[in-house]
Amino acid sequence: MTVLQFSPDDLAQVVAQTLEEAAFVFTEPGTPTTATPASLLECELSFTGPMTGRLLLLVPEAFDRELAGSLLGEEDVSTQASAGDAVGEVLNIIGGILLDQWFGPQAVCMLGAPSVRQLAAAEAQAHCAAAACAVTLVTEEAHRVDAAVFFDGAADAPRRISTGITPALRHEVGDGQGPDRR
Amino acid sequence: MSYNILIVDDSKITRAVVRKNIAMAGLPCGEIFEATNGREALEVLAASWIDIVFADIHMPEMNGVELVEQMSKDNLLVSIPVVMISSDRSEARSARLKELGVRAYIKKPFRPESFRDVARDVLERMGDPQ
Repeated sequence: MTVLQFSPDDLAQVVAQTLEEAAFVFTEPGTPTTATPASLLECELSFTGPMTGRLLLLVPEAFDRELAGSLLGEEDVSTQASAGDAVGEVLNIIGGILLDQWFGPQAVCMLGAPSVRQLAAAEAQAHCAAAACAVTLVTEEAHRVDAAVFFDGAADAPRRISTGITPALRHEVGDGQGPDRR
Repeated sequence: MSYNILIVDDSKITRAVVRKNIAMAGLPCGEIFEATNGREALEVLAASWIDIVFADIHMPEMNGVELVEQMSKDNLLVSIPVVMISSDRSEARSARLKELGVRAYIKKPFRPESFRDVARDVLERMGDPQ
């Protein structure tokens, strides 16, 4: 049985750090009620290793374009990147960091090829609701970024994830009090 | 002397980033070739003179480790320096790549200065026996 000690804070830190180091995009914690456009790009990346599963990264299309520009240091990247390329590359980097944190440098893990699709925000966020761990970040340009982790084989030997729910990142739906803030 | 370079990565934007970093590093380039996976890379290597390869690890069809393994079995390809550029942080995989003769490993995300220093170092040592 593989036991992970992993919290939304850990996931948020990796996502935020990757965006900052790879693309000079700075973020802060968001909440489930953070505004989002009607449709999003959903990027999915599978992983294998001591545990298997997938990672999701949800971003507005406009942010994907900005991300591409940031990665390349140019404004017009239309000939150098297709839609979803940038978010896929960022998720690839996030995946590498997470696998190293979860399983250590001696584990042999593989990342799949990122797959990107456009879908309605409500549907995309419903996917995240079923995740083992999910976080919401907001960029300086007010783009919402959602990241989620899914592990396979829930019916197999139990894999416990210490979620360490952080008030700044989650609040109980329907409590009428809105998101907690630090 | 200018070098023919092969960039191997399934991500179009990453190939563009590497291409940009090559330019920023001031590497003396001849022609730059691109491939989206190891299998395509072998086709390029069979058809064109390549002086250095920059390759990702996680790619469909044939990944970076498999590419380097195939290159190591070929008398003509074994001497071509390979630099891995990857999000992979596995020390076990890194050790395997080193056994296969990979010259350097750049972890993503990387700074242009890091890319420049590694690339220049590899090119300067190209004439050195392994």
